[in-house]
Amino acid sequence: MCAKKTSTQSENLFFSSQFFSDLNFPDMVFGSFVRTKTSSGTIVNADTSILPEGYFYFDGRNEKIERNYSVNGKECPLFCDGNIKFAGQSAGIVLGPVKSIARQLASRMALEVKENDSSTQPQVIAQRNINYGKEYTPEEDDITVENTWETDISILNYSEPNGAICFEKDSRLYVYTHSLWIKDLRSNLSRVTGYDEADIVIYRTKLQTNNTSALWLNTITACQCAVAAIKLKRPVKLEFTREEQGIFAEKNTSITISHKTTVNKRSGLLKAMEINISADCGYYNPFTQEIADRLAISSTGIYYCPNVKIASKIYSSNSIPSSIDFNIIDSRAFFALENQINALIPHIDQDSLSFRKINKQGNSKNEIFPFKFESKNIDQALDAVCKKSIFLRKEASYKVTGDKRFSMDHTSPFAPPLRGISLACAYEGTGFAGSVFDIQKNSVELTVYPDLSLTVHAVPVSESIWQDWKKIISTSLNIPESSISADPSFSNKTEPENPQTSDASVTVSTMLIKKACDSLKPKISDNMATPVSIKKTLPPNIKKKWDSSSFSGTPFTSTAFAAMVLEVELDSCTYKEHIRGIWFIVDAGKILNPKAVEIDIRNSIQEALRELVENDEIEANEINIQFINSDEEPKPVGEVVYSLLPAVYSGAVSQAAGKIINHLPLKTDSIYNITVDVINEHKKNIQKLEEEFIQEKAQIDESTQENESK
Amino acid sequence: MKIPVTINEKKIILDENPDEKLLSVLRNRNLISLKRGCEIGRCGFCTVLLNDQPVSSCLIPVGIVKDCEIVTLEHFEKTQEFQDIERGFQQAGVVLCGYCNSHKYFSVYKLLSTNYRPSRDQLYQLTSEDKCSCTEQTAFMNGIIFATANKHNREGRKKNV
Repeated sequence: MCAKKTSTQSENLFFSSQFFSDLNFPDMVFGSFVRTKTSSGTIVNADTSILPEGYFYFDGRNEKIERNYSVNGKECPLFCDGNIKFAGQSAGIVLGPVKSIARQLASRMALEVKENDSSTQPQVIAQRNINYGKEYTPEEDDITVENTWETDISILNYSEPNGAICFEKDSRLYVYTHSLWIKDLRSNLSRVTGYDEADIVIYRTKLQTNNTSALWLNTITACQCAVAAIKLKRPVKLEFTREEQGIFAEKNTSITISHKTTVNKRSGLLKAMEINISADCGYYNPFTQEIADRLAISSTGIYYCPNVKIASKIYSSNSIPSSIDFNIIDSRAFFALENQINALIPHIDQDSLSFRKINKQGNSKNEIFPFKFESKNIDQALDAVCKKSIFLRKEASYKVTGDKRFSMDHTSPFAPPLRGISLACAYEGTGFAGSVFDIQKNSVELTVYPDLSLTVHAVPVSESIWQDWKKIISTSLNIPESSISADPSFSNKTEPENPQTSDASVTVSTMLIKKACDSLKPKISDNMATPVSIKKTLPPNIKKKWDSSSFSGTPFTSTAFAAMVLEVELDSCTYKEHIRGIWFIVDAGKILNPKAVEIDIRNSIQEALRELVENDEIEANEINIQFINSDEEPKPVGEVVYSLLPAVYSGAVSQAAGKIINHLPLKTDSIYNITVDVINEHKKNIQKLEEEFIQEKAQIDESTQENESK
Repeated sequence: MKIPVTINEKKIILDENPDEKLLSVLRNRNLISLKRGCEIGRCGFCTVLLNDQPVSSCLIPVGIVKDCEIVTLEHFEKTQEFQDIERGFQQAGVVLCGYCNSHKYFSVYKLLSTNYRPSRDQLYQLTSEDKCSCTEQTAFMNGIIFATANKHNREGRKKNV
């Protein structure tokens, strides 16, 4: 079924089903970046003598262009202005008719750099401090555990690299690129090139879901490409190499979180938490405040603690600017928190399950905590996942085996295997109320025509989400799925202000589609004379639940709770881990298409497993997925796996290896090194005990001899 | 260097630097079904059939393909084997992202052309090697099972195999 609205000349946003890298235009030239090799200094000269005829060097220094790209009120340099800010900064572009030659020339081109001490010390550019409760002094029955946790997991993928194609035609600028945030792309192209926003025609090319740099980093490349195309007056294709993509586009922020937790040994109740978070975002990142806020909120997870002190600091430095994937930013905090809890368990009189249940939020009506999460089924979910995985029995059993590890001969084929099991819980929040993106600007418009066909006016989404939307509409309004079509016609005046197709916006859109269907239902009849349209946005009370001044309230529009158990076995010969099983449960409201959601979760688990060990892949044959039966609004679940899996994996491996793993990803020899450390440490302890024993024995012998002689 | 070669059943003579990667040469000829993935032979997004064997074209210098027969997905799409696999993927609810299609179609084609009925281990091994996150492993395995059934239906079921 075709869309009812037809394209007009004023439309300047189109959605292409092709990848930009597959497109070619007549007379097109290819660009390749010339990058700085040092992290400081001043570029004195660029040696262009190696460029043959037909190849150009463009660095934007002598051009009348806006030098900065602006996003979220923060300025980021488009090209190096002469003073190098970080290693690998783009100094300019080599352009030419053959891509491989342009790339070779760019890598060979020498930049004359005058050394100076322009490197800067890391500076705090965003922070969030939360002090709740009082300064707690540990009592007699209390125990305090301190640990530092670090993660720099990046989602490895070989999706289409960053890049764009730009050219001028009939006084308009044409741009082909993939972008999650079209409004920002258009405004920056206008700012940099001087073109009016209406005269910029954007073709948003096919977007892959796992491209984290499509939010804002790729816009810089599109702007660089646009200024080069204007200068050359020819179509220019600028594309990252795979190596550049890995280093400059997909490098994720490395986050360090230290926890100091005080807990009562007998009751197992949390008494105080002191959490320090630090992250280096590289030379620039426009979303530092949101990163600091999100990490601060998720650092206490689902738990209630009467005395909390959180300091979340984001630094800028002379390192490469980092990418940001808001969908998995919380996973770092959950990794630290859940492992901290696992480190606490051996010191208290509670098992992992009971500890989580007695410390979760909402146990007491009187409790007041800065962040609130609405999930009623936490106990039910935890019990179900632990029962399915036989968690409690296995945890106790592996603890006993672990304690006896040194008295066993692990080289024997009959030796019991070294196993570990771990439990973790987390939530996936959607529609962060403190975000720079106003969730109330998300809207969905449905139009029903007299022939009872329906169009959804929205930015194109993935096939699976589109099928879900069609199912919701078809069920609610009793319209055949074949009569439902998408209408992606937008212009610069009507295009969405928020980034689209990110998980958060899709979830909000799904929620709005349901609401729009409810509103449309009474208006639909067989005798409709004119089309009926309904446009829905989120009600204002959703934002009222969050108080940004006191940084407290309900931070997310909806929250899905999930728990995971992972069991691992270590091969005592190869020191390779083998995952015996993963058990996952989620309370995600009403699941519209359980099979599709299950596939989505399995896929996320398989993808997340690939990132836990560098240059190695871990496989899991048994993945068990359960859903809590609920009639609440559907909630997103795909990304909560990234919050749980690193935590349960490191917890289980820590138990099996006998030493806490506080850094992910592991290396291929990490488990071997850990095991060797544990054995050496044990040998040292034995040696020390033996020496002490010998000394004591010698003293006793001496004293016995003395007594005898007396 | 002049390199006589058959690309998608058309005999042509390439005039290329022998060190140039086959991937670049084919993409420059607008055969864009093969994508630039890892470019180190790991992801398989640039897979082509070279003398009926699926190979990563990013690892093949064009100089060694003299007198070889190369098939890309653009041509393979016209075959019945492709349709068996495509229908199998649809039956299993597998929707490909468009970037990994060459790898998935050609690896399944190879598996089905060398095995009448692939074993579970073979399915598991093939799907484990898939580096694209657009498809869940079990769904991919189901897609291959459906594709096998489609192939059997088309060819007529063989007995005692």
